[in-house]
Amino acid sequence: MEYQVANGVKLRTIHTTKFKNTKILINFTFPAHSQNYGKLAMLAELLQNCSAKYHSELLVSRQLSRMYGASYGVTVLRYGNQHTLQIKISFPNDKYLPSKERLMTEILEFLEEMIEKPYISGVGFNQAYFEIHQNNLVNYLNSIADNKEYYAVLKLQKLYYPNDPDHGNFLLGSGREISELDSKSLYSFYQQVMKTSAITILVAGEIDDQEVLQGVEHFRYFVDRPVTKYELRVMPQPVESLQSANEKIDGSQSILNVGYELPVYFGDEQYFPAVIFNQLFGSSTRSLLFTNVREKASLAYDIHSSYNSLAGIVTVQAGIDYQNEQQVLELIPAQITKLLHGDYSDQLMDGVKQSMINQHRSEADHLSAVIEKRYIQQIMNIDYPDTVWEERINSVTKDDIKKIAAKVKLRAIFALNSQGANNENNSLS
Amino acid sequence: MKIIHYHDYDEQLLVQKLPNGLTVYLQPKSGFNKTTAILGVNYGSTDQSFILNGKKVVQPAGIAHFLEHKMFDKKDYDVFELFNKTGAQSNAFTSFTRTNYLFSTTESFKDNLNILLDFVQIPYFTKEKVNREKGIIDQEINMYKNDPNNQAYFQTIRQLYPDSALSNDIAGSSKSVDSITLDDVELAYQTFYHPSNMSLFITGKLDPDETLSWIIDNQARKIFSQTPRIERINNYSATLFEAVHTDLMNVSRTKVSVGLRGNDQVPTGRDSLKYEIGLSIMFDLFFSENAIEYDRLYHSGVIDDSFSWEFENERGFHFAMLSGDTSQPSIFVQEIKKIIKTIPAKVSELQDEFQLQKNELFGNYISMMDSEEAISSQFDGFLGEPLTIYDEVTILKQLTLKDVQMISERFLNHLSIQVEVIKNHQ
Repeated sequence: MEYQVANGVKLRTIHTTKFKNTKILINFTFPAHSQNYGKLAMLAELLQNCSAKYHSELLVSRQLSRMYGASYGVTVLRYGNQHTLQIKISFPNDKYLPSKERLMTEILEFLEEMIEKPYISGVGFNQAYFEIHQNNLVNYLNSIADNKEYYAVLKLQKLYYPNDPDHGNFLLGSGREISELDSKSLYSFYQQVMKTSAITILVAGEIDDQEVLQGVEHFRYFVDRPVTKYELRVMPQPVESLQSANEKIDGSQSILNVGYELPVYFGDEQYFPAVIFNQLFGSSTRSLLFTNVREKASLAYDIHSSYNSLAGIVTVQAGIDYQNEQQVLELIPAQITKLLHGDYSDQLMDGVKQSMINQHRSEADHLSAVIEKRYIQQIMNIDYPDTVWEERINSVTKDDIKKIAAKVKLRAIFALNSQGANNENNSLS
Repeated sequence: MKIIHYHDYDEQLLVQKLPNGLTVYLQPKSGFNKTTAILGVNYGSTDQSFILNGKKVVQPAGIAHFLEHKMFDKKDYDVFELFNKTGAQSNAFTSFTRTNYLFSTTESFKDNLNILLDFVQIPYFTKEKVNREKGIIDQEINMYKNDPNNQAYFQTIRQLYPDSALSNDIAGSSKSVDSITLDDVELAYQTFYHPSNMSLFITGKLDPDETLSWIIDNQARKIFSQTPRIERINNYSATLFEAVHTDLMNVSRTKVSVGLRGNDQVPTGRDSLKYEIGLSIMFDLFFSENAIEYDRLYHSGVIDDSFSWEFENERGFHFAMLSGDTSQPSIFVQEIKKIIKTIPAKVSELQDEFQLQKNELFGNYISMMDSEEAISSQFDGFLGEPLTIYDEVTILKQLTLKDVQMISERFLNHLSIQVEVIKNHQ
């Protein structure tokens, strides 16, 4: 069911009896601009850890334990050009609780407290609270370099969008941006987010709509706001030449990241062929990259591709030995050529379709996936009923894949180079 | 089939031991579309040395994981292809003491079940295939070596259990993997992959009678040798004096792990779960976000959100690890050790906190009940009796603070500590 709580504030309830838990998700959204990335990341930290009533991390944590280990989190996401502050909570259904209580009521009160009554002193967030989380976030951002695969993904993103910080910058900002924030201006940013974002509340489980609606209407910020429409799909600015860069690290493995443009988006006529193209290319365990680079040539343990249908990008990541880099860089496009010429078995195509349908049907067994699917349908304004979705998958042909392969265009390459074990041996001589 | 009812949660578990020794556990989930099956082998990276029919065998480090990889590689096809035809997802994992093969699917469950049982029970090894696998595993080993958190974890275990099979990485080293031969692979397979050393756990959409009949038919088509007489040799050398070990890597901040090796005897069966849950609560009472000790360290900047603790209890050993990134490594270690010392005296005063922790853990179990992945990965078919998350939640409900106190003392009185520090080398 869908309810209009106020202009720009929607509530969606999803009724299902097969789960033992209930989940609530609240998305605050607005167009993505890089100057807000650090601010929203910091705000997420502050809305997660304290409130006026629960004015220490310990008090929040104990309240969650009291509510039977309810799992509460605040994160920042991006759906194409949409910047999103997401608040999530899940909790067990009343009938499993030892005492007869209405957990939903308590949970909604908790959310209202956390979202609407942050831990402030004067006209800003409490200074000591602000500083400890500012410091933590800076430390976290600096530690990303320890996760070399993730670090390489972020580097490729930067390279892929030259002079375009809204798309090239990391969504959580940088250590420097976070250090420059102050508690007062962040508090006014908070008020702006509360008053101007589009808000969607999704609730799924065994729920009573009236109870949820009443709870939600009690939030003082859930009132009318202007609704602005903007393009969700990311259209990259053209580049004149291949963007390429590399960095040297001390490590045991080199990480190679390649970014391709694929101007096909969710909802487009060619969306289904694009999804299957990515599966054939490098997303399934029978994909061409997996079979030919890993299994046949033994050049990588991990090699995979991903397709972002809101950004129109296909990326490949491989963990390899430095001396094999050229060979892998030749093998990757060679797999696209195979897809361009239809040079793969029908069996592979059928298998990929089967696994997509299989996975699509499994999604109904995960409450999070059920909610996420509903949300995507809402923001994209496209609803593929399950049968239509499966028909569209099944009707994709090798010719459709050829047309996708012809559209794929190499745009950026980033390599994190490590001389690995060889270097260690040589250093003694 | 023996049926165990869990009325409070409207769930049941069906258990049947087959004549060849394979134990089958079925946990149907009504309303679910998907079925998940795990074929577990009671064999892992620590089972490198054993006595087989009176003769001592020592195998190269990483053999169990190597064997897991090789099971997928058949004469002229890869097992992933078979699962892929029906759209099923499949995977395998090797840990210190187990090898698990699994699939999940919404379609053609019977076909996939036969694929699973057949690919694990009908081996195909050749010299060429054994050699070709080495390159891929080498990359896998390098991937783990590149990850400082992974290194902190395994280095700590290495310090806790030096010169034992536990001190080797699960995948082995490039050198040990390179030395693996076709004979090694065959011997490991013949020794450990007997149905009596396996368990099959299935949850999700399934009809118990029909499913069991498919399994019985499949097993009836195969002939197995006699159950091999194996004696596993796990020499966990005496504990060493407490020390701080430092390794250098590329890290943004220093990583510290305080490893606690348990030297007490862990109870068996149902009581082993009680022991695990009791210790989890003990650690939560002092080192979770609910604990005043945690709060103090957090606000003095000694720990941050990267801090976590974990407890592992497996066949033959158990240890805990408290780790995190810190800019004050020596204070971190000092404080953690100080808190651990105070546990026996303080724990009995924490009645309210204990109740809170029970509430939280109870909710966590209810949350796991919605996930086939959690239900199946929490299940261990080699504890001597069938124990699911529904049993765990019952054990939790009955647990008292007195129990936690006794379990804590048991663990803490026989503890040995080693500290691992990973520093940036610039």
